[in-house]
Amino acid sequence: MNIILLLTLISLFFVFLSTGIVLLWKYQRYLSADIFFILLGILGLFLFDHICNIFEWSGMKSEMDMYGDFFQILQPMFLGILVYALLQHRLRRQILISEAKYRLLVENQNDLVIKLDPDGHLLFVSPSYTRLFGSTEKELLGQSFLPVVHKDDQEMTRKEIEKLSRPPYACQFRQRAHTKFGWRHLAWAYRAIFNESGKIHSIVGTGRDITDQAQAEEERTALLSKLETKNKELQSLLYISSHDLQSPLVNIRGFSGELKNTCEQLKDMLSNAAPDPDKKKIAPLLDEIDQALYFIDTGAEKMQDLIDGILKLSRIGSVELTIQPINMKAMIHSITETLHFQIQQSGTEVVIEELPECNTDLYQISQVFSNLIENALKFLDPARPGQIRITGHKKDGQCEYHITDNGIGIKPEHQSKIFEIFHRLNPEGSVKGLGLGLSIVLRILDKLDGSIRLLSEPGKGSTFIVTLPAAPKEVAS
Amino acid sequence: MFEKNEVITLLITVGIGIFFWSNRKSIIHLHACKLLILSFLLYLARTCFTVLEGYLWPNTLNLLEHLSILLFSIVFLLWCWQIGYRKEKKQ
Repeated sequence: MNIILLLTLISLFFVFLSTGIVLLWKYQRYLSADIFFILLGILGLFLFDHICNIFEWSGMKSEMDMYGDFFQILQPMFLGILVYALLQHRLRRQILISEAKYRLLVENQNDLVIKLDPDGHLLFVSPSYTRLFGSTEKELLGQSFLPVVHKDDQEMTRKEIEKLSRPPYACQFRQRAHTKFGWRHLAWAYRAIFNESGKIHSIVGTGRDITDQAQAEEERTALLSKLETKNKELQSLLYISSHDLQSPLVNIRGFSGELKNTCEQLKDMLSNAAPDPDKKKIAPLLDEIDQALYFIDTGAEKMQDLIDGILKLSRIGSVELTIQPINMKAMIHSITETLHFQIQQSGTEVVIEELPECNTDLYQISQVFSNLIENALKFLDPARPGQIRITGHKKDGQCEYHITDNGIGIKPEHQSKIFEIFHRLNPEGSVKGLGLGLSIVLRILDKLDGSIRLLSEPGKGSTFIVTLPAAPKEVAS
Repeated sequence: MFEKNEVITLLITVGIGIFFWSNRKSIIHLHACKLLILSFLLYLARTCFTVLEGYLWPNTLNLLEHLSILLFSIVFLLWCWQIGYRKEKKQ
């Protein structure tokens, strides 16, 4: 019974192994050669082993028996070799995939990639490097890269490479290099690679052609310096002209005063003189002179105010700033104290909520808030009790302050013009002013890296939103 | 009684088993590794039964030996089919 069962098993086994060999033969093109032959070997060994067994069970003594024992020993060895070969195969495949991936990255990028030995000789150059310098990889490898560097940049490049032996073992620099396309500006980032003994084994550098950027930067720097010069010229012109305009204006006002006095004296003389037919003719002329003098005086006064305003505006640009954390609530309290009279006269309620501290110049920012609160007081709605509310909060590293009033508001068509110099909403109105307050506010905020915007609805009121850099840390109030 | 070649085969198989264990992290990434490991375990069982049949229940262990080698061959063939079939599908 056992023998029949065993023979059946052996036959089945024979069938399986034969099928296996056929299967392998079919799939051989999908397997690597070494794995295919190892598998074939394993299956062959099993076949041979069991052919021997069949002979043994059938009572046939065969010369193959002694080989059967030997092949039995080979079976596990082949299994081990198979697994080892599979592991090696997988490892090789992984390396190939990884290499292909990195090769794809290096070969298809526009940035330059190089590898240098510690003496600066090229060990590897990316295709982008060979394209830029118009040489083949063979010509470049083993050569120093320094000869192509501009003479003035060579020393700096050497010094930067020396830095690689010290932490953080990396450096970044710009250099001019002579390429196929002429002199180009290259930005390099180098990193040292160390061997097991801690010595620099090689240097890996990535570079980028920044010629266009460098040219644009040069142009920008030149333009900025030109602009700065022009700005200074304009500033001094503004200052000098407004300053120089004051002298003739003083003369005009002084002599018109003299003339007015003379006219008064003449009037007195005429009133005391004997009646004369010409006296009647002179009196109206004196009145006309008086009127003309009034207009000259008013005009000169206005001109004086305007010159003062221009001087004030021009001085903002030249003021030295002392940037420090500012306690805004205390600062606004001191402003409202100085405006106490106007606030009381207008019956306005001023509410100051908790305000975040900002980093700015105290004097300049006081001027900003003073102008804004004064404006709010000037343009209150007589129909209702005035209210000014000052609130603030932090937003994205900035402080935002809201100065809200319930005044007359500003029409949408005027909202974009109110920051213009000498612009007044109602020049004929009762509210006096030169139209400089908000221009000064805008100019100061521009200097303080701040900004201002307006939300307003006619008849309801306005909100000026001032944004300033927040204080780095909370200051003690 | 045991035969020398059977013991040598068992020792080599155990050695290969140690190699399998020490490389298990890599082996688990091989395609159809479960079939491969199972087939090896069946082969290990076969070598154990071969040695043991010299001492205990010769008929039973002999039958088990042949059953395990039969199962080994089935599993191993399945594994062969799996790797070839997968690659053919990929193509």
